[in-house]
This record gives sequence, structure tokens and C-alpha cells, in this order.
Amino acid sequence: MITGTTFWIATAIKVFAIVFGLVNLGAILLWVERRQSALIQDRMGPNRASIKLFGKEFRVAGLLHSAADGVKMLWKEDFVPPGADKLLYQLAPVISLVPPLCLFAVIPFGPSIYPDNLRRVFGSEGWNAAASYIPLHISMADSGILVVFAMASSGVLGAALAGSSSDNKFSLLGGIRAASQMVSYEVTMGLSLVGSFMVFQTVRLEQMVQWQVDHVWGIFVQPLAFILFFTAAVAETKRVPFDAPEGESEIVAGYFTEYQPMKMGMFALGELVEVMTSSALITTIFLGGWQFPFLKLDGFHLEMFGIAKPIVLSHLAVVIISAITFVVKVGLLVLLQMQIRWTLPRFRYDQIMKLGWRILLPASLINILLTGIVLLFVNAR
Amino acid sequence: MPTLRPPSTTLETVVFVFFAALAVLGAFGTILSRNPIRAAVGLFVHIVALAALYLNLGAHFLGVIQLLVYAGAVVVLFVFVIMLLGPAANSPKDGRGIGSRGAALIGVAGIAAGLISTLQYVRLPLPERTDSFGTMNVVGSFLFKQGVIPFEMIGVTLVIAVVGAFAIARGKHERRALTDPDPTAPEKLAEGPEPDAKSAKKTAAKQSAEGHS
Repeated sequence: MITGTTFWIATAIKVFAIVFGLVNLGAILLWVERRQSALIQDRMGPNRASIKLFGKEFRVAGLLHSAADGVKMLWKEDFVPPGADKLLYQLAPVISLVPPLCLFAVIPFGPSIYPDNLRRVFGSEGWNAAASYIPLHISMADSGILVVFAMASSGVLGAALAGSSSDNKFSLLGGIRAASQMVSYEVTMGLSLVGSFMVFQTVRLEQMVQWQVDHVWGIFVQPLAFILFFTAAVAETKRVPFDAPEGESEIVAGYFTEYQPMKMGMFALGELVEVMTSSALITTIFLGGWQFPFLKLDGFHLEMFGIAKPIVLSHLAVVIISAITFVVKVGLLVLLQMQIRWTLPRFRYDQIMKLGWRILLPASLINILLTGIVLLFVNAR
Repeated sequence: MPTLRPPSTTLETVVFVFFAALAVLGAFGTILSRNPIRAAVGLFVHIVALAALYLNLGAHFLGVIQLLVYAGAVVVLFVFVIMLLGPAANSPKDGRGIGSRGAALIGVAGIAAGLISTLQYVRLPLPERTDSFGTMNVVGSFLFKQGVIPFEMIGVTLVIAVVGAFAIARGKHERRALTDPDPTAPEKLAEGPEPDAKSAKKTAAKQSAEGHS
């Protein structure tokens, strides 16, 4: 691994790329969501916002609506309710936006880059094995995915604080609902992955991806865990069908009822960032991470189709294909989550609790037991 | 202090000073604020700063678990309970006199003096920090090899506590509900025919509702 000044420069670039990328993709996702719901409901969707350049009007398929929204949010009056706890009221949006941004630190979005070997083929003649590499994830934390859970569990506090500090009954109800729902589904989220840890023999996400590159995608060895984790992740984002904390038809807007322009925007952005990070996690643990099917570090291996000779690719090409693959996989999962949002009706609050504690939690415990039994037999052979 | 391992780099020192100050601030926020939610947030700040100090010492696993268990579960539970209690959770004005305050001050000073003298005169045999120190592998194998019996016993104790809490909180109601579906029925019957008619209406309405569904 690289050390010294290069390490700090590389880390700074990675942090900037991820934070900048996530925040801006959040704005684009807002547009995607509106256009997709319009497609589903046979409407036009947003298409009016335009910008005049050189006497010509550009509409960019309604993409400018997100930019207009951002400008509006920044310039609107920022009103703090007089009865609110000022400090906590200001703190709550920050606490709900920062953790989902932070937990991207341990997710690998590509294979390690060897800057000295960009034009060579991995493992071939002329490959400088002693060269230093840059891992394409920010944190080298030994605890891996536990960092994700630690961050995600702190995110609950944002919604709870927003609910309790706004001096509004609807906010309070929403905050209580958010806290209880998120705590309930975090249990399933953690337990559903224990089976994956047992199979992969690691908690570090980059090693999980390596295992999947060497063997098979996680979804094939842990199908039940995939369903459980996906459900719990959708519930954690607090979006329809699990939107009891917001509950527009019952409690106005739930825990962020009293929040105006940009602070409300931060809650919305935090939600969209959560959608992206949960998709990235599912990609990494169950869908092979950055791996393109049949692509290994030295090129395509198509022995399965009777092509004995691998199609050799240079290191740079492999890295680029892998990084794009990761983005595409995450994007498809995000679209799936949006589709779920606009397709399924909302659950009642008691149904959410029953699903979490009576169905998902026992199922994830059974998954651990089954995985243990199967591993015992597989390892005994 | 001569007995403690000095921070190896300036970065470590900067991180230590920043998060130590933050931890002290959070602790003061916890004990000084009268609003319970603010106290809980002070505790949250304190816990996050402690986790950062653990990371700084190389105890990665402990730091992450600190965040996961204390910041993510315990503080959230505190906030949740405080929200459920509402204004009843606000503590009343402190009515203790100057005597008890002075006693507390003397006690705190005594503990501080004891700690400082301990750090001055007692030399702890601190082992050299290795690369694998505090990693999940090392902590896990220690817990499940040398420490497996205490670990499992703590687990059993916690389960007993949870089951006991359930038995105390829910046991009687559940039992009564099982043996006698409507404990208020005899009193209603004693009052006269009116409640009877009402309950009959209710059952009729219930039946029709069930028929519809």
C-alpha cells in the first residue's frame, strides 16, 4: 500500500469524489424519482424549468428542477419555531445527513490501483509486484462492516432529535415512530449479515468482494439473507412502504414537519444518500461488488463457454470497467428501490413492527442456524 | 506523564487533545443540563469522543463497538424513553443545600488527587503495541478462548434479566387475559340490563363487521 504524502493526497481525492458524488447524485435522484413516478402514473413529470443561453431555451428534460429547488431552498426564509430547543433543532439535520455520507468510507468501489502498472496485465511478465497500490475505498478499518452499523445506528438520533426538539406534537410522534422503527430493523440488518460473515470468513468489505470474485456472488450462497437485508435496508430509509415516521396522511410530515428550506433539504438528501449507500452495501455483499461477470484482474475468463484462452486486458481497463460496473449495479438497485416506493402501498405502523419482530428477526436467526449447519458439513468433507 | 506511553506522532497528540477536550465537554453537558434530551446528547458527544480516543490508541474494535452499542443503542434508547415520558422527564430545580454541594466538591477533589497520585507513582507494565493489537481477530479469539466462560455467563445473565423483566411487566395481565377474557364483565352485569343491551349491540356489530370482512 502507498504511504506518506501520496497516501494523504489519494485519500483526500477519494473523500472529495465520494462526498461530492453522493451529494450531487442525490439531487439527480430527486429528478429520477419525479420522472419515474410520472412514467408510472402516465404524467409528464417536471419539465418546465429552463435556462436561457444565447437566446435559446434549454430544458434538459426537467433536470433543472433540482437546481431550481436547491436555489429556492437556499434563499427561502429559515424560520425556527419559537418554542423549539434551538441547539438541538439545528443539530438534528446534520446528524441525519453526516452518518450516511460517512459509512461509504469502508465500501470499495473498485479494485486496488497499481499506478506503476497501469498499462501492464495483472500477474503477467513485466508486472511490478513490488509496486505500491491505492485501494479504492477510503478507510482501512479492520472492523469493516461494523463501522457501517456503528454509523447507521447513530443516524437514528437525527430523526429522534428533530422530533423532540421542534415543539410540535406531529414531530414528536414522527420522531418516536422513526426511533422505534429504525432500532427494530437494525437488529435484523445486523443479524441477517452474520451468515455472510460466516461464509466469507471476514467482515472487511474489500475481502468480501475478493471472495466473491474468487468463488461466487453472495446472493447465491445467502439468498435468504439478501431478501432480509434488502427489506431491512428499505425500512431503514424510512420511505414508502415503510414511511410511518413521515406518514403524510396522518402526521403532516412527521419528524421534519417544522423544518424549512435547506434543513428540510438536508433530511431529504440524507434519505436519498441512504438509498444510495444501502444499494452500495447490497451490491458489495450480495452482488459481487465491483466485479463484472467473468472478469478477473487479468481479463475475461470464459472457460465456461468453451473459450479456453482468457481475453487479456490491461490493468487500467480492468479498473475502469470494474468501477463503472459498481456504479451501474448501485444505480440499478436504486431504481429498484424507487420502483418499490411508487408501487407498494404503505404499511400500517403495527404491520411494520410485526414484520420486523415476528417475521424478519426469526428468519434471520434461522438463516444463521442453517448457514452454520451447512458450513459444518461443507467443511467436514 | 512518565509512566504512560507517549503519543508517537504529533497527529496522535492533536487528535488526543481535541477528543479529550470534547469528551470532557460532553460529560459536563450530560451532568449540567436540566433538559434530559440535551443531557442525552451530551452523553452522545462524550461517547463519540471516547470512541475516537480508543481508535487513537489502536483499539479499533473497541472503538467501533463503543459507537455501535453506546451511541447507537443506549443513547437512542435514552432519547426514545425521554420522548415517551415527555415533559415529565424534566428534572425539577436542584434543592440541595450548600452542605451537600461542599461535600460533593471535597469528594471529587479527593478522587482527582487519588487518580493523579496513582498516575505519578504506580508504573503499569504496559506492553508494546503490536500491529494486531485491538483487531477483531485478537479480541475475538481472546473472548472465545481464554474468556469464554465469563463471556457466556454474562450472556446468560443478560437473558435472565430480559426474561425476568418480561415476566414482571407482562405476566399477570397475560394470565388474566387467558383465563378470563373480559375481567370487567361481572361488574357490568351487576349494574342492570342496560350494559347488557349495549354489549349485545356490540357483539352484533362485531359479527356483522366480521361478516363483511
